[in-house]
Amino acid sequence: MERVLRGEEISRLMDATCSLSGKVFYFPVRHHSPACSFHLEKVMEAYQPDVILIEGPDNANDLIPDMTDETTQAPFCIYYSYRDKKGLISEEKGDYRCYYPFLDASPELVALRGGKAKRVPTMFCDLPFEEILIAEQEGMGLRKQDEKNSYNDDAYLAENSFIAGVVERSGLRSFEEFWERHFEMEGLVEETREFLSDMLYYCVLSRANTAVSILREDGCLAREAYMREQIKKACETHAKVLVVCGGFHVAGLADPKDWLLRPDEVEENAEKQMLPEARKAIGGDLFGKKIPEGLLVREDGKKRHAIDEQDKGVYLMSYSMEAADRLNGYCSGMPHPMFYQKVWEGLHAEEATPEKVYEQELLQFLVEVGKRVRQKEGYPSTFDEICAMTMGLNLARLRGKPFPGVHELTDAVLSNYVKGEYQLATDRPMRVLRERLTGNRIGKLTENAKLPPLCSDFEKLCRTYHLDIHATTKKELTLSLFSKKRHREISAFLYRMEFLGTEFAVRRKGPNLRQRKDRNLIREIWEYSYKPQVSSVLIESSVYGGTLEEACRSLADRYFMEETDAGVASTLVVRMFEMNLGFGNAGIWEKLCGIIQESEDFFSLSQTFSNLGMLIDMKELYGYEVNLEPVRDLVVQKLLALLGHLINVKDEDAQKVLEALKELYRIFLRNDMKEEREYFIEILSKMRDEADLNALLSGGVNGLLFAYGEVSNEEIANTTQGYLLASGEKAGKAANFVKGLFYVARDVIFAWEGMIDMLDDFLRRTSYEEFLVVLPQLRLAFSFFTPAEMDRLAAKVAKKYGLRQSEFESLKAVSADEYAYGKALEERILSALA
Amino acid sequence: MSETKMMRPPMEVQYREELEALAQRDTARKPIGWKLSPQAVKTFILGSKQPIPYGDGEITIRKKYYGNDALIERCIVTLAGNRGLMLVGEPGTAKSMLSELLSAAISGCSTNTIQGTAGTTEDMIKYSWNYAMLLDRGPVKEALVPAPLYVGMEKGILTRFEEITRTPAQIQDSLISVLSDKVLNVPELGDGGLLFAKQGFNVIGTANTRDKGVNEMSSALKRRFNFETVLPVREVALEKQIIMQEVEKLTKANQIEMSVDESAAEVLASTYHELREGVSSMGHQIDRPSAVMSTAEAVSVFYQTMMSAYYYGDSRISMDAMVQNLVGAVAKENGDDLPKVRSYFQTVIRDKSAKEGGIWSAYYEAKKYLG
Repeated sequence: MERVLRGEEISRLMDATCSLSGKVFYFPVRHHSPACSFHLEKVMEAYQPDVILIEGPDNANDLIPDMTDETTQAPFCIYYSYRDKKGLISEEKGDYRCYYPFLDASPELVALRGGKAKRVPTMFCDLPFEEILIAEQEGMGLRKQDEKNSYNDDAYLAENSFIAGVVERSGLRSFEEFWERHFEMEGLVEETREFLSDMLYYCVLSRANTAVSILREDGCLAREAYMREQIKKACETHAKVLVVCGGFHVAGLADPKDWLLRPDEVEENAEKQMLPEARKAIGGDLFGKKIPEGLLVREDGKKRHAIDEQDKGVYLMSYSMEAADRLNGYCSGMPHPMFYQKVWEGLHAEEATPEKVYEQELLQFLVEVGKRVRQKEGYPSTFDEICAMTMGLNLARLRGKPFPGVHELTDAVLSNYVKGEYQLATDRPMRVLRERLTGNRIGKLTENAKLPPLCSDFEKLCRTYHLDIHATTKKELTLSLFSKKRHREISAFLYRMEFLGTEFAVRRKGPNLRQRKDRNLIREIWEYSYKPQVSSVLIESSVYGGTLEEACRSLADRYFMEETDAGVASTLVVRMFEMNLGFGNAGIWEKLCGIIQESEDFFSLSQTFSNLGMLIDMKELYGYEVNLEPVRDLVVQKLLALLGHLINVKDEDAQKVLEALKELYRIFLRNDMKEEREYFIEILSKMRDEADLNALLSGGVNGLLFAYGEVSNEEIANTTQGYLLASGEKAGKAANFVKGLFYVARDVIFAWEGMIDMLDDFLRRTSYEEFLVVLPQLRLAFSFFTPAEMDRLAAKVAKKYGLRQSEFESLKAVSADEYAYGKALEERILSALA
Repeated sequence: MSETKMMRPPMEVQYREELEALAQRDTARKPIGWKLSPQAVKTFILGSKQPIPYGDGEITIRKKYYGNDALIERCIVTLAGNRGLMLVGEPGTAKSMLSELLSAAISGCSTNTIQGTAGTTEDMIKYSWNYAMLLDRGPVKEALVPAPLYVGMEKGILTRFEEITRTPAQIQDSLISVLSDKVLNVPELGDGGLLFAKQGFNVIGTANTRDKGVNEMSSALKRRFNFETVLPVREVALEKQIIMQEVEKLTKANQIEMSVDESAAEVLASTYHELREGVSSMGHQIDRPSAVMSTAEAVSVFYQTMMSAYYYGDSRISMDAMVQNLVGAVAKENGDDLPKVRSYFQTVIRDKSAKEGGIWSAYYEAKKYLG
């Protein structure tokens, strides 16, 4: 690390906390950092501790044997849960959970494994999970409103104004680049003492720049008090205690008297030794006369609360590299876990040097990404790969880094593999690189490990709902959706199982909201059966959460955040509705509104519109509270803006447009949408005047204008006649027109008698061949009428031919051949008579 | 022509002192044919934190390019390698300026440039002939009139190719073999007609993403370049700083004695930023105009507004004039753009006017000029 500042106190702190001859050795770490683990291994060898204390909630101590079992493979995590039945945290008596992930390169896991190998006892030394929660203020630490709270203190190291200032001054892009350069790369070539000194120096400055109020509110001081007690206890029974903890805590665990100079000890020229920017960054007096309170403040340990065992849970779960990636928003450890995993593995190879390892990884990733991209795109070439390698090496030199790291790798791929403007169509190399840097490895637990909570949740729900999962035979389940709340819950449960891909249950009948079909049905019939595969999928899915609800929600959120098509995103909303996941995540609405705003695809938007409209109609029936109206109104605005461009729509798309128009018509009947209605009518009128308007749409547009009272009976008659009088190919258009008309305004046939005459005349004039062409469309056109309306219509037709309705109904349908024969006969007779 | 009389002196003239100071202090390794080391080129473009000695005094190297520092590093490393450098991006994102700065620092010459147009021919890129001499003496070296590519290869300096995608594809492709083999054949000169590029030669191209599809580059040519996408500035504060800095330069050069109004620059920077990003600082979703909303356009709007205040007003910047100039800048290509800006004023600027008052209110009042 750059020597911005060196104070006497840092060397005193080193002596007090990191001395190989000391009673306690505090090893400062950043979660998942290979450099920290690399030096930790050396310290374990040199210090030879009698006991190792590791920062982490101590109610997971029983899991240590499973964690260090030879058949357990990282990544995995400790899953903590707590049900606040007594209201110790807040009056809400909520449920809390958090994850503590471990990778092979996590110093905490290296300490646990190292302890086992050396037969040295290891234990966690932080407050139990529930006590941490009690010590924290609402919205702080593990009580943040995050989907996935992770246990780690890295945020202290990465997020404060001092760090931001240092990063900016160093001309690096981000804290991560700063960390990689100074600790992951330069740290590896340093001696351990030098590395630890840099770490402490950096961590002390971070702490000095963190407000005491924050330390208190997020429970940091309470946790340190507990850890100090545990360390003291360990010292009573062991000669050498190694403490592996977040670097931020070292200054809070060690006794300040052991290293901070008293004001009278501060030399007059101490301040002069500092560079001006360092003095400014640390508030001027860290090593001067005024010591930052963050370094001095201590809290006394508090009495633990009595908590029922059944209210707290702690399990091991397999975890994925993807979930462990800091870039995925879980704020756990470092970004690019697979890259650092490879570095960690490389460091343990024979004759490995840090330079060789990093250069090897640069080459390896460039070749892998190149190969993957080439399979699909046909490039990059080997020469591109050579140029990228050269660029990575030269960039490191230009930037004054000892060897190329992730940032040089990223730059080399961006420059050499992306051909043309960097955009969605050309960014595949970068997407592939990101995937590779994150990795897709999923951990594996020893067979002895307790079941992950997701499996327990599934079993618990099956018991609650009396579902038999002890046999593999198929069972049927009928659910009365709208009369029994419990049945709706079971339905949501089965949909959740379906969503996770367990193949536990299949819906045979019932409302199909995704396809907007069978919405009149009030029952769902499901078929379910338990197979071993169900458990394996649940275990795999346990990375997404400890309960079915949580797993489905985080998976749905993930899909949602990756989606770019409004129609698909709205179908996802429908699925979330089926699963009754609630829509509390503001990010989803923001994302959906963003997708809608960006979308120029009328069909995708109309699908969104129909989906949202359907959910708005159904939500009362299902008893779900969700405010979809503002999003639907946004879609309406977009659809209105796009409508004018739909004149020459293709036949196959016209039906979808028509459906959207009909829905819009229905919405605009609302009193508060007068302005939109007027604008809609204006657009419809313009469309009606277009000569080239698709026939089906023309029918629909005329029907809607008729329904709004904007077009008179006569005008409709004229337009309809225009289509019906056409001949040949155009006759097909007439049927389409009628279909469109009846789809939106079938009452026109009753409002104006002449319509039946006109249709009758059309049918009489149509040749047999022409009739066969238009028949499907006509059938569809009349399928929009209800049975009662069909009767009414039949009565009118019967009357026209002088029949009573009963006689008309008793007529038998003739076959096509008979009809053709009759018609030919009639023509011959007429010509003979003529 | 002396520097003061030039409307726009080239970078090597404009920043002569900085380049000299850097060269004098440059002890790092230089690629063959380069005037400065990669580190010094980086400092020239991104600026130095501390002043460096020059002559009897010292000089601070100003930051000339704002935005992505890593992009500059990639450009420098690319130019020292085997590939050409292609800068692509929206108009007004300082691609050309960056290519001039790189050429000035690396080769000491930013004027060896091909201006790509629909009428660009191969002889404007490679070489043509002095026909009088050709008729008189036949195809001899003296009769050859070198074009920028020839000059670059002969002298071992960078050749800039501006707006490459405006040039017909078959003309663009004449670069392919030169970039691969670094040799140009002049068949008319017989055996002596092979021109081998001197070390230091490379090509920097710029292409406008709005021209995409006009003359799409062949994949063979694409393979010979490293592409760098230059994005618009993403921070309002930085955009404001650029506007102020550039306008100050322009006013100084044109002897307009008027100081740059910071709050007005902030209003304009925020307008351009929000219309480009499609979301306001208060969270409104905004329809983006299709017109180019670049920082360069914002500079031009601001400068015009200052000029009208200086020559026709009371030397105080007026929001009315600014909105009028904004209309001129936005309503160029698409008739739908002006309603989008109008709607932006009716929502975002209305709310900002209610919240902030002052200049924002005056800006909101000026919406009448949006038609």
